[in-house]
Amino acid sequence: MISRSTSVWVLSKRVKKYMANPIILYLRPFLQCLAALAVFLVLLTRPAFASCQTEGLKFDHAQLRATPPNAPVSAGYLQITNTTGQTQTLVSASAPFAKRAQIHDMKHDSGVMKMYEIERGLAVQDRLTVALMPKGRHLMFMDLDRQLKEDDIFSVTLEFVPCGRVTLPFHVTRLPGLVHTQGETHTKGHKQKDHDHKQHDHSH
Amino acid sequence: MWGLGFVLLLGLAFSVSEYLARQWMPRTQTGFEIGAPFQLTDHTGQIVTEEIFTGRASAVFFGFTHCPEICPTTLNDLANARQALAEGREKLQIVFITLDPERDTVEVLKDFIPYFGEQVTGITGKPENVLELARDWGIFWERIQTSGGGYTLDHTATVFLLNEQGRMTGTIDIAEPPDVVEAKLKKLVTRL
Ligand SMILES: [Cu+2]
Repeated sequence: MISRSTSVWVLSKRVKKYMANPIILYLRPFLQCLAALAVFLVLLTRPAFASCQTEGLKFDHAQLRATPPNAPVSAGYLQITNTTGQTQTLVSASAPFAKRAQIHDMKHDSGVMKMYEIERGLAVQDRLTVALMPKGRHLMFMDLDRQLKEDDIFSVTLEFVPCGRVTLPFHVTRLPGLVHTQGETHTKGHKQKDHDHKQHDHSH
Repeated sequence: MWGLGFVLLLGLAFSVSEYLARQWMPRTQTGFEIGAPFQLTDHTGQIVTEEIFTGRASAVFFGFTHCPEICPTTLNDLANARQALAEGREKLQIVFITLDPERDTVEVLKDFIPYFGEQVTGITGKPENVLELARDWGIFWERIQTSGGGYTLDHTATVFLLNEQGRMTGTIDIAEPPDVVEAKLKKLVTRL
């Protein structure tokens, strides 16, 4: 980013010299259009390169906890599967209904529940699935500006390093957890092999 | 033949009388004494004292409403387990005592508590009195500053099970699955 803008600056200094030339002056609108087109093309191609989903990040069971009226906080859960070929670290989250969001973990220590921020982000190694679930890791949304009601859907943006931002729909539910299908319960800690048949869970 | 029948009958009569005797005998007190007398306010603004714990069984939980995770999860789990009881549901109440009385005023609890269903009571009051009650119950809590200002609480997340005399007969640990929670509540109400 920085190197690009400095090179543009150097370029514009040189261009200024030519600008004095009357012929170039004629061509000026044309050149401006060309420059705008170049910028447009650069912007157009960048997101395609940075799309986390096309690079191999998969998301399942994205849910938000429904809240009582005027509740100041809620939690978000999902399952992240990484096949990008490198570790992806979830570093931040944001949602339209909350002023702040953090990535939290919980520790259960002789009857005392401790909650803390995962400050360096949640690393998802390549070829692994990580689940954020009730009583464990969660996205914590603070300073809510509305009540989250069952069956509402909100777009939540997650930022991964290195792959970038992803925005995906989260369903509001009273009892968040992994989806139960055909009497079978998906529990914490399952890995890759579970993940194929989970794709159709999501469609209903 | 008749002799054998007589012996069997005698045996049956004996076990029936034994069973009835056990049913009707005044039972000795069970459970442990917990807590101390108090006078605080419930989520509807009414005065509440330790008498709330007598006359029916209780599942008691300490928490706070700025809690995104364990407090709503526990209250939902308890409410669902209570709802799943085939009988004796009305003999069981859920009591939520705040550990954050400064933020959890009656106004706040009035919105929060009814969300978790019937027979749930929220308790708050003057901060020093509420926190004294928490100390009387042996609760641990600690304020943790969050990076954006504000704070959250680390706290004891054990659910205390009280019989209808207000004596503690058991606990539910946070790690226990829903079927265990349900079984414990069932046992608690069928003993009454
Ligand atoms: Cu949290």
